[in-house]
Amino acid sequence: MSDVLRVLLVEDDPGQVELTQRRLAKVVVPQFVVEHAGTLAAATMQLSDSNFDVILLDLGLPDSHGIDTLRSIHSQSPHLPIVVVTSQDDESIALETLEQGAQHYLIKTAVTSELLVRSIEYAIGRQRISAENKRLFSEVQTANQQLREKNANLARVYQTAQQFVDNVSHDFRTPLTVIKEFSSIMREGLAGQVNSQQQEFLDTISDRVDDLAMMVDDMLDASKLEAGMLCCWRREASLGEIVNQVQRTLQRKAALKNIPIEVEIPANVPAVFCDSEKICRVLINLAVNAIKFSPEGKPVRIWGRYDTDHAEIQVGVTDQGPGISPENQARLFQRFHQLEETILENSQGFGLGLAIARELVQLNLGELNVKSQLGQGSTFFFTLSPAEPRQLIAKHLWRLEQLSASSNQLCSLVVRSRRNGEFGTEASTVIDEFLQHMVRNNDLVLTINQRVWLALVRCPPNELDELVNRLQTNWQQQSRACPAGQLPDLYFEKGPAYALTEQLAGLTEQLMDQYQQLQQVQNCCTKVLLVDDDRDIVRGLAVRLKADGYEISSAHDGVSGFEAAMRIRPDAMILDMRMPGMNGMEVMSQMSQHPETRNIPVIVLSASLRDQQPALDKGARYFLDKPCDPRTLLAALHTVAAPSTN
Amino acid sequence: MAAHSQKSIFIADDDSQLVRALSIRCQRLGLNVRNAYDSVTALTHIHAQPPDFICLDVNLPGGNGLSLCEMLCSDDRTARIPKIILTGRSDPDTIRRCHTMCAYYVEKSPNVWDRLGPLLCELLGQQTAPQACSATTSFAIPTTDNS
Repeated sequence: MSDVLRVLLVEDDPGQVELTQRRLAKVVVPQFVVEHAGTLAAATMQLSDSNFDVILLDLGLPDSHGIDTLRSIHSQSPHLPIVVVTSQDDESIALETLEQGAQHYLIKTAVTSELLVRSIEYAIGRQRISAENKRLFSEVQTANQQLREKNANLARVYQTAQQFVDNVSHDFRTPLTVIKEFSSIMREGLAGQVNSQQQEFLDTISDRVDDLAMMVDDMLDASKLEAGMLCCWRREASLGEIVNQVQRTLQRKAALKNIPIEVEIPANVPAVFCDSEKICRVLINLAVNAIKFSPEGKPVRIWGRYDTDHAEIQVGVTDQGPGISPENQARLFQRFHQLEETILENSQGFGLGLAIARELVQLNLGELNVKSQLGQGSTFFFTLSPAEPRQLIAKHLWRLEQLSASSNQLCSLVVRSRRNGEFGTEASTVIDEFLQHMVRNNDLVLTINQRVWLALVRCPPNELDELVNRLQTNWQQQSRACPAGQLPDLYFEKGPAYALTEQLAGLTEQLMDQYQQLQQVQNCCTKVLLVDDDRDIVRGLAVRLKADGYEISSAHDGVSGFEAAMRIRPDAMILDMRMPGMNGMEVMSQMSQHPETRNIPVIVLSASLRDQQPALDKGARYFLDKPCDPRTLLAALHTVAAPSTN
Repeated sequence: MAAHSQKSIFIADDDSQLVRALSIRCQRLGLNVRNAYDSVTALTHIHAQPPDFICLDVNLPGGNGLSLCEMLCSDDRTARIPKIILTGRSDPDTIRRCHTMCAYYVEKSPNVWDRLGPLLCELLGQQTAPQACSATTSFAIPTTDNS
């Protein structure tokens, strides 16, 4: 603070002016130079003409009163600290003056020399801090604005780059396909005989085309992973079949280096739960690396085994190549990283393969690791979960624990489909794929049976509505675009939400309880409506169909049959033709006019073959003549509405 | 369907060289091959003489191959002909649209014949619409025929 402080004293009471000047004159350091203004007008003029360090301001002046006095002075000199010195001992006024820009508020009767000097010094200090704060705030605002602009720019550039990668990758596929096809056609002698050297050259062309295609796939996958757009469709799959396909794909590449591929998958390895296409990509990636680094003639082994201790399946690729040092092992899965040794020997690839492989494995609830010793070869291995709900839930929860996320809530959503009869059992596959593509990769969709799914979604419960809306809208769009027949309606039901902070074992059990409850409920929910005026026939069929897992309702005339169909909306109807009141044909006519009943598949039972053609013309799915073999009826029923099973 | 005993396939792709390569392959399987390089010609020819199998690219001049496939699926004359979508696209929407239409999705890639060849052999061995194949090769959900 300066040794000399210039003070503007704005005060209309001469006595108070005298007193203040005396008080300040006593102070040696800093030295106060006081100028006086008795009115607001005079103060305004002095502030324009001279420089001051601080203003002592009385609020009651001949030409201005109260808070307006402060506002006028502050608006003229916003950078100057103001100490209000007034006779008004009012806390609300004091607070208001501070809000309006004063740095201090003193009551005249309480002012002492020491208090006055200290207040002036504090006011000057606070004003400086306030000015500095304002400057810093302005700088932060400017920096924020610049960052926002840079971010938007980066996002644009990133999107363009990603679009470019996608387009280039797709555009590469067709020419690569053509090169490969023609070289294969020549290699196979379809365009004339080729000698063994020409065959070898053509094999080399095909092999290098495969390499290039794999790089394109890697680029595309990396781009999708980066954007969070790589969708997974995890289902029960056979590890043996996956490995067989990998082996077929790699045959020529391995043959070119005279490397045998050995496969070792014991028969007791259970079915895995994964996106088999992604796991194929991982295995091909690992095996291509293994072939690349294996000495000629040394086998590459693709193996799988069930680890009973951890209840998981381990899958690995072992080579007898040069091995990888511990330092390099740590850096192995980083993107765009190639080992120094790799670059020396071979410069193929972008170094994306292993990083992508690890991410693809993680998408499939597993972990990819490496064991290697220099000079001894390497084993890359990853885990997969068996297709068992308890293991899947446990793995999923464990994976969620590893991931950081804004929500610690795990919401459950039950999805049910109503069989409309026109799309058959394949609808469940379409629904499963749809659900898995709609939720995030870190969410899990469990199939309860062909009509019920349990989705476990990590989000606050109130955000689940957004997902449900999205699912409904997209499903309607997909249904409209389905020319093969109407897709079933989907119903969404929010289940309990779970706290991820709970113990994993306990949480797994809670989720398993929900899973099992859904299974039990669904085991008997395929509804069949029997409409026949012969009560004995209805009773007999009901016993048989119940035994087969159907839930049975019945009606004994056409009118009540139609009403029951509207009310119950069964999955199938078994309908007699000749009934009192409303006959079977009329029931079908009524049903076809109502969207609620239009798609209910009808199996007609009639003693008269004359009913057959009219009934089928009316939309009946089957016509069975009485007396009907129950096995025939069950077979017909099964095709339109199978009883739910696990 | 073709009246004569030789089965036929219609390939619609704007890449004439790829069409040529696939034609050689298909002819080796005993198929009679017809083709078009745009969707309008494809639709006209398919309607004029429905083939036994249809193979469509997605990015076709004159109209999207998926939309063309949807039109063919909703037309009684062509609804039950097995359809293969052969495309460089691998986004979930494209794949899901194929599955919703019960069309086989085959990704355009250098090992395309490793996928397409076995699929056509399987289709040739069937009198009716095919069963769903493994998702690792190609996939289709057959239209159901419960009558």
